[in-house]
Amino acid sequence: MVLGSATANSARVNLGQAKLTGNRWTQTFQNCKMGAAQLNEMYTALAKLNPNVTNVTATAGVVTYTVDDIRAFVAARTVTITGVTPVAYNLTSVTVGVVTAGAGTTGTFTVTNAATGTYVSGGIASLQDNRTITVTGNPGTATDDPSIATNKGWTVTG
Amino acid sequence: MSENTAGFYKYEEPSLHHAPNYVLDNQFSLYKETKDDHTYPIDGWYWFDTIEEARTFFDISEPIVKETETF
Repeated sequence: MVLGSATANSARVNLGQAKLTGNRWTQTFQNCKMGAAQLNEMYTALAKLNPNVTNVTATAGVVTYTVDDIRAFVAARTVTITGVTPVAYNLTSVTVGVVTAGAGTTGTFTVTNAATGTYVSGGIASLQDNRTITVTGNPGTATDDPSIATNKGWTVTG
Repeated sequence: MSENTAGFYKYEEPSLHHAPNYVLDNQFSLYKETKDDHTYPIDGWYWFDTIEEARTFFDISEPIVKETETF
């Protein structure tokens, strides 16, 4: 898909397609003639790279985390979990195992670890790699709102 | 006149990310105007005056793959 020579209208159509594949990891929207509204729309469509943990279970050395946005999780990505009570479930730079989609954007992912305990509350699961969205060369970068993306764990470069 | 390739660089195999103007994250913000105010690396990002300096630093000998997907 090429947006480089697109008109505003055709870019908007193509952007709708981009949402389907552009929301998991590193992407470039360089020189796409995207205005601020289109950039903000793209940022809004991105999956969260730092979803909230809503439950944790553990069985036989496998820890399963439930999160409120599983869309960016795939096997072999690196994740750090913080803020969970009990703290045994807070793990740094561990590898995502099996990913299972749930209702809506929710779902679960597994990590191989010996931690155990009854989940009480809290937690954020932050993906560590391939978080860059490049928007260099778009006219909308002067007035867009990249915090829409950075609040979801993305790094925006221009 | 040669192209200005100064900017912030981060190598995340197989991609060499280049941000000529800024890098924004929920933990930090880097702008070219204040590039000298920081101690690098910051989350893997460095400032280089040319892409050749970045390639040498990251020991990248192959042609650069800019990003994993381009729209």
